[in-house]
Amino acid sequence: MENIQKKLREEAGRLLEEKKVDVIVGYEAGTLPATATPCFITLPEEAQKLVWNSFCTQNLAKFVHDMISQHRNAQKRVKPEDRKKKVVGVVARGCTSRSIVLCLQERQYNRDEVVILGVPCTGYVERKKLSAALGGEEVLEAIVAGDSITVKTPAGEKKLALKDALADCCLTCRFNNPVISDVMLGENAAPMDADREYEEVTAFENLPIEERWAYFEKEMAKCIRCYACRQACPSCYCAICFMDQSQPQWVGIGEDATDTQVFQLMRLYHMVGRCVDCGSCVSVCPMGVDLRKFLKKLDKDGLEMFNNRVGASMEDVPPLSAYSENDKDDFIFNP
Amino acid sequence: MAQASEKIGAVMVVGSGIAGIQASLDLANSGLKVYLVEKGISIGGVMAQLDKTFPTNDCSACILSPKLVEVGRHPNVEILTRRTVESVEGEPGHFKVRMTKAPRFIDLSKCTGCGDCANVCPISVPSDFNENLSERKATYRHFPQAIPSGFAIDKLGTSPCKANCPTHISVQGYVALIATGKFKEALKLIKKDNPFPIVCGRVCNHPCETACMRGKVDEPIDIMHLKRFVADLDLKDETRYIPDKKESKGKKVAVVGAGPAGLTCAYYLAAEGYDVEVFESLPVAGGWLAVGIPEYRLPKDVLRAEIKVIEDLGVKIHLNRPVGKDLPFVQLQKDFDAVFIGCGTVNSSKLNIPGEDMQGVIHGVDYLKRVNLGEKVFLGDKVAVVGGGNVAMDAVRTAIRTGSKDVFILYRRSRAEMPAAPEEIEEALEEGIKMEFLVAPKRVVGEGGKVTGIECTRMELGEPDASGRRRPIEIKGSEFVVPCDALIPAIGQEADLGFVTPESGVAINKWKNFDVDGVTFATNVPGVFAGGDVVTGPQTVVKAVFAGKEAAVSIDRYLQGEDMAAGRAKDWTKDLADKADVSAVPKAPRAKYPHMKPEERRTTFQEVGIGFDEEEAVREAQRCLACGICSECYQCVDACIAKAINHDDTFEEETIEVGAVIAAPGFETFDASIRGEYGFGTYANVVTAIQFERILSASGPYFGHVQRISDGKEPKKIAFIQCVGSRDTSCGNSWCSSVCCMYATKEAIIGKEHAKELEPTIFFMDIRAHGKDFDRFVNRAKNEYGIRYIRSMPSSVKELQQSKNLLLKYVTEDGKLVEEEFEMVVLSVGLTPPPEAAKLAKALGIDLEEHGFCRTALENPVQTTRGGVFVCGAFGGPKDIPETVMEASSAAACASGLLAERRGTMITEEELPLETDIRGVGPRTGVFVCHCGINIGGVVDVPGVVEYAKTLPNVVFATDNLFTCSQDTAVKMGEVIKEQNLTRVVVASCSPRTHEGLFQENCEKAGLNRYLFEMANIRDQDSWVHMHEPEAATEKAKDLVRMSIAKAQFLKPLKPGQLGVNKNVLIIGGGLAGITAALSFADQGFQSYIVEKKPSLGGNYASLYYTLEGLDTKKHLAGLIDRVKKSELIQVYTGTEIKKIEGFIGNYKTTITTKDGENQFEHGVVIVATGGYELETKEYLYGQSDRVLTQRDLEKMIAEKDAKATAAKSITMIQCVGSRIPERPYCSRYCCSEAMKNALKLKEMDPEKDVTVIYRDIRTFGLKEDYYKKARELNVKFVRYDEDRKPEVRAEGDKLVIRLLDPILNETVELKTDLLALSVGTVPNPENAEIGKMLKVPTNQDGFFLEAHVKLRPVDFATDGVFMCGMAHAPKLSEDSIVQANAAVSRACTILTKDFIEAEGKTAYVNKERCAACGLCEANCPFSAIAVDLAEGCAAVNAVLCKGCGVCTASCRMNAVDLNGFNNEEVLAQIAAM
Amino acid sequence: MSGQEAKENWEPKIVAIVCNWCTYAGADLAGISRIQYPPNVRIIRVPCTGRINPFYVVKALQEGADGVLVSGCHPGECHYLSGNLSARRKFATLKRFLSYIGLEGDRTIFTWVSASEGERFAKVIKGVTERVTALGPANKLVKKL
Repeated sequence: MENIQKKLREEAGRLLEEKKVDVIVGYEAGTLPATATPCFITLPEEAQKLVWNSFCTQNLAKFVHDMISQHRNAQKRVKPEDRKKKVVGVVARGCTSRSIVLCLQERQYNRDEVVILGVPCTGYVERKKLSAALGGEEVLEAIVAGDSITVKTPAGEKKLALKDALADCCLTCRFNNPVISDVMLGENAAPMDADREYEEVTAFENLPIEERWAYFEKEMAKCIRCYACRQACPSCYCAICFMDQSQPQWVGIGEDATDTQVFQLMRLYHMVGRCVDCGSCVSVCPMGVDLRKFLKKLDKDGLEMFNNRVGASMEDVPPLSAYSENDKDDFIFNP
Repeated sequence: MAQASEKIGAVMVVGSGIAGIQASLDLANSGLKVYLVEKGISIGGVMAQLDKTFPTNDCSACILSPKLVEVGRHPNVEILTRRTVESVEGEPGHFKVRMTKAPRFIDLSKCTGCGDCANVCPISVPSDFNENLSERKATYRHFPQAIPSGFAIDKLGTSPCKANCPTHISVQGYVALIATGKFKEALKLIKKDNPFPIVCGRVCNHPCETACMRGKVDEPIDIMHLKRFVADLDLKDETRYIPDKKESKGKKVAVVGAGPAGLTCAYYLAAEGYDVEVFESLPVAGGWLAVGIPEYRLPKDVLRAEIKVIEDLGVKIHLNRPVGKDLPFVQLQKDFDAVFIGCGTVNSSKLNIPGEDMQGVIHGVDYLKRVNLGEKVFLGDKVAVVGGGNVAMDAVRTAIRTGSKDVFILYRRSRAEMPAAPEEIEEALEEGIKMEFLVAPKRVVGEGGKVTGIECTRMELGEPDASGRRRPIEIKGSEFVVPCDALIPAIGQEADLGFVTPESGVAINKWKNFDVDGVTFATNVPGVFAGGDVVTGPQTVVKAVFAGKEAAVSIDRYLQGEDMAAGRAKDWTKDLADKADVSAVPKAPRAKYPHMKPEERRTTFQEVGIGFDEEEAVREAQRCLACGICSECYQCVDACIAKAINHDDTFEEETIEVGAVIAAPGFETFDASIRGEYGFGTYANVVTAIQFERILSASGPYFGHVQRISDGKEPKKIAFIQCVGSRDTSCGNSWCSSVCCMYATKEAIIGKEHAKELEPTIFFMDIRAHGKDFDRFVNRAKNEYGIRYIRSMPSSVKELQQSKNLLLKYVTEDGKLVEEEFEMVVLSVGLTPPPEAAKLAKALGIDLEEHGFCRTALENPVQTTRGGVFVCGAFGGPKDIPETVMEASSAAACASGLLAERRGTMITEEELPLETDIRGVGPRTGVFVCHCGINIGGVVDVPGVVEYAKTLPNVVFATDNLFTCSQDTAVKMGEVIKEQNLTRVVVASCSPRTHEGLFQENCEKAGLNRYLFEMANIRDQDSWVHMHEPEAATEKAKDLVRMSIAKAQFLKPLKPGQLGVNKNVLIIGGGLAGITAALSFADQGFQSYIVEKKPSLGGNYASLYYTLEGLDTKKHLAGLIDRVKKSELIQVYTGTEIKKIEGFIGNYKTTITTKDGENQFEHGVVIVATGGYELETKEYLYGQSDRVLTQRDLEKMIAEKDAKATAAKSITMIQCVGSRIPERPYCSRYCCSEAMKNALKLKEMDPEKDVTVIYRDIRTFGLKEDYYKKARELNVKFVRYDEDRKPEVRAEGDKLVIRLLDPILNETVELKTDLLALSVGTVPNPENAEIGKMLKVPTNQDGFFLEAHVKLRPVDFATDGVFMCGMAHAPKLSEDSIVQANAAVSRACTILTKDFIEAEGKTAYVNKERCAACGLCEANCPFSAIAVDLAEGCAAVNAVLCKGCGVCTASCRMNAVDLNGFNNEEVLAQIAAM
Repeated sequence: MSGQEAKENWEPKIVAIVCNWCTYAGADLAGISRIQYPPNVRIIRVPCTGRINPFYVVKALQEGADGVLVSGCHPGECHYLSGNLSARRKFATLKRFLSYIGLEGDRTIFTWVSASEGERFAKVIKGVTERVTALGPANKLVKKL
């Protein structure tokens, strides 16, 4: 992994040096121990700040979209002939690359506006999970080696199985290596346990209906409508979220439980054929709402009904951008 | 009035099936006025009856209905139903068309289509729409979605019973009402014309029964006793029926005589509002009814009860008040405003023989009167009655009842001449009365002044006399004496008119009767009227009733100062509905009328007839044949709140001036009963294909459930027999009907979809799947649905008695005789010329071809033999829907080409008031809730809904209307909008699908933007479907109104976008289609650019020499090219390619590359006529042997008399070379005709030439079948091969040897031939896809262009402004290309004739701030009307292309796209208000 | 009214969002043919099922509809060529998802009714009403006012 980080810094520096990119979005070490945080590098010498390790959590595609669209909006004030293109380099693991593919399919930017620095991924440590595994103890330092993670806490050192600290989405990730890249840094990582991808969803599907509803109700009751999920989601790039729209106002803004349910339901539905299961929303949620339980279902249905795996290939068509005469009719009511 | 030389900008379209509708729409949309003439009651034709359409299995009604609505609402189309064209005079451009209009009996301008009339109609007849598989009412609409949506009454004429009844009661009407259990209504109907049903139900001579058509089947309906049945019910009822009395008119009428005539007159006058007094000399009322007819026939209490109703109505009857001495007649004349004399004939006629004054002689009238007034009269044991009338019968039967033992009749003629009612005679004989016929009294014999006998003489019958009966002649010397104790002469009566003194002025004639006017019953003195026996001499009760009734009408008119006779004389023998063939009506015996036993009745005056019970009455009434169809029971008149029904509607004539005529009368399906061997009409489970179509239809008789007629069970094995009435010279129909192979395939597939277990088998001669994608359809039927196709025609169908299954006998191709059982048989009946073809052709002045279809020009299949008169659809020959639609547009193009200069001159464009500016006003909603007569109001509490609406936010006005769609309500609505300053209008009534446009117009006329209108459907979707739940229906109505009001608050005034139209045309391709289109555009006055890749014009057509039908194509093409060259409106670019096409409808810019460089021009529409190519084959030694040619090569050799062709002794042709194979699974359509053409030419060259055609199916569809027939007659040989066993060809010396399996011989044969001609198929232009991309239009899987809709829009693309014709669309014959080219012009003219294209009002729009340009809208839009503008970074709608479906809006996560008229705010408001 | 009575007298309220060309016309045909069906459905007319934002269904449930019906033209018969096919994908996913989170499948019903299927329309309404009635009053996702 250190090898990859080294290559990353070299490659990033070179791209900036050669002005192939205007900015590189990557991760730098966080202020807290055992964290990494997104950073934006515009100077070659800053490339040394870049890190690549198991604490790099967020899906950076979000920032690619934001930067390019902000730039494009700013350029609208410029005469068409004087408009400039902004090229963004991005450190992309599998899920990030899939988000980029989705954005490209949804024409959010052109392929030549993004340079993808592909990194193989073995999963990232999900802070809330780690903390839970430590019983809430403070992390002073954490080192990942092989299948385990060694954590220094004020109470001493603890060695945990890495799988107990990795994000759920990583454990069964099918696309831990980038699906597209301009530069691939390092060899492809070994596959994760993708066969068990839908186990949780299947189990939930088989619960009695009232239990499912109770769970949904319980989870949604936690939500404080901080919209962190939306803000972190690389697929949530609407200019004005339906939640913020008036005329009509789709969802009430009061404290009614159903308003929260409906808000989440609608946002989740917007992820049909669009969620890459990067875990960003889960990771940022301050209340620990089990969003993945629902998102993964949409993913499963997309596969079952439309043979779609979100962002897996540029050639695929997002399921709601298309239709077929032969789509299944089995949900149609026939009296 | 137009000048004779001036053309008229209007076209008449005769026939309103899909052909007529399409032609009308094209014409009307390009600025011409259209009269759409239909002989039936509504438009739609056969297509409305179809379930699905091939080859896409689209729902026929679904695709047709919007067209019906469009034509129905089109301001430039006037639909004229029930019209027959009688003659067309004049010149092309200026015709006078004379038509007759048959009565509809329902005023379309008033009818709201609610159907209340049909609900009450007692007459059910087989539904022609459902092909007699279900019933409809006599008051009906052809089918639910019919346009005009108004009803009509089906009348064949006056039923004979009604016509023959002297009072003209609607006899069929009350019989029908009895049959449906509506007894009170029946009585009311009777009393409308006769106030004496109790009497006439007993003692009428019922001429109605004499006329009854049922008598020709078995016995007449027992009408009289049915009348008695309902009259007796009323009699026993607690409250008896008394008619509504009009307001008093303050005038007095006197009636002399309380007999049937006088009392009838009194009854109707009293009901009219007059004060009537009746003066009667006897102590009882009823006249002869009271004192003449014996009790056992008409009980006194019953009669009194009948008269009581008349008194209850207000008539004053003065008994024992003879007019004369104490009450002089002149006094009556003074005291009353009018007088009616109905005093009857009360004196007996004398025998005038010696001894008539002896004791024991008592005249019949006096005898009956005495008995009836209660006197005990005993005449002795032996009583003779002289006479043969009813009085004689009454006297003789009374005598029996008063104790006489031996009572007999002496009558001078035979029984056949007896005027008494037959049942009277019968009853008398039953009671033991003897009758002596052909005897006449000569002298009364007596002793001491007392009768002892009567001397008679024998008679014989001579010539008929004035009465029509044979005159009796005395046989001399045959005198004999009959002993008797009493003699009753009953031979006639006379009036006693002593009271009519000379000073009254009323004249009396020599028969001591009055002479009165035959219609008005007025005497010579104004104000004095007379009727009944006193005018006619002794007659029947009903005649007296009729006289009294008619006199009442006259008296009313007289007293109101109106013309008494106007409009009253009616010839009842005209329009008599007695012409029906009753031979097939099953026999059902007349109900036995219950009588008292004869042995019991001899001693009593108790009534003989006992009367029907309810069950008997209903059963008897149901025997009625409903001769007139409509029974004229007038239930509909009472039910219709809109007052739209007029039973007196009559035939009318009218003349209309038009510039051109298009004949589109369609076709008739073959009458399958002509082919008796198939058992149609005899075996229940043999149906025609169109019946099966109805069986399959969800709106059909069985709601789409496939079932047998005999037992309603779902069949398993079902056989389709093709060519019933087609390709069949035995019934005179030599032609192929073109559509049956396909519709049978479709019905088999749909049948199987409806009933999974179905096993359809199709018996056929050739499968003719010659249309676009047809072969694919048949392949799917075989491979996916497992439908069995057997190449054989069953020779017979026999029904198995037990199971009602059908045994088919047929011979397989290899000669085996097979018998197979099926549960149902469907006959694929052919298409024949319409029944009115000959008459219509005569009226239009056009010729028919030999089979009775319209004769057309070879150069233009829509041109008839008369200039300015065009034809389209199956009238020109059998064809399917897309061809019909193309011809319709083509005929429209020809008509509008003729009248181009007069466009826009006959259409009315309404001036609309300036739109009110509603900014800043806020929602002020007006709510109009409709009763729709009782359709809504009868279920929903409409006033309650109105009150509720008033409480809702922003509602400033709410009201209810009886009919919101009526003209007066429209005016009122306009006033309210202005007075109340309304900014939103909500109507709660019927369906917006039919009425939204109308109400929007009301808004517009009041200055309110039409999009500020909203509807709530509280009829079709509420009151009609919750008829038995008024409370729930009212709640639902309130909810729907609330939802509509909620939505209305968010409605915005919309201004549909307008876009200029460039009037030039780009035509891609200079083949026959392209140049035909260019010339047609030039006729219309539009400039076109033909862009042709090749160096010259003509395309494939240039390689032809003649057509199958004999058109010289070289000459034809040269003429066309010459016209193109001369035309100033056509610019030709040959050797030119298209580089780029930009823009959209109305605004295109095209760049072309010519040899001289690039060129650019602008145009408004595009015609794609890129053509096709002859397939290049390598099969069958083509290219290797110079003896192997294509058909085209052969044609050239024949035409140019090439030695190779002339020398060849044997010529063989192989069909389907490169067509109908897996890689090219379509039929090339023309090859069979080309083969036939060349074969016939070869035979013409030398009949000895040996010509063989090796084929898979011969597809000489339509009238081309005759050439196939001719070829066979000329000994052209036909050998079939199967796809998987293609013939093999090898060269052997200077000959070719063809080896193939002959399926009939079932062995391999070898043919030697000098020449081999290959029928190679067509391939699409390889550049189609590229051109398609430039125009954003699709090609299909074979590479031909894909039309917007294969059935109804075969020339259009889904993208507006682009049209196709010729082989760009599919392989076709030259005449097909000509038709389609003209059709494309017609379609294009609907755009080019406009200065602006108006966009839909309800289109999508983009909120740019929200849009993130993700492109989901673009991906989902079916019309390429929305696209992401990459430079702007947001989506943009092309409002002209947008059809307003809103798919983009629901796809948009950002809600950046929204839909006018159905935007998110509006719909969410509805949801929230639910 | 006691609670028990209220329960017994309860009638489901069902929203139907239907396309103008097929199902709405089919509903009209049911009316013209006087085919009777339960009065519990309130129809909202839109041009095409393709116009129906899946959120409409969710909003209807939140507003207290006991059932939501969406119906349009049969596949291949869309007045707008493919609007119903676009819709089919949306509703296939929505219906599965709603059921997954614990909403009864019979609360949201999707079907096709053509303009000639008046009988089918009545059957659909009858079927939907029966199913929703069997479920009882909606109590999930319903906003309490």
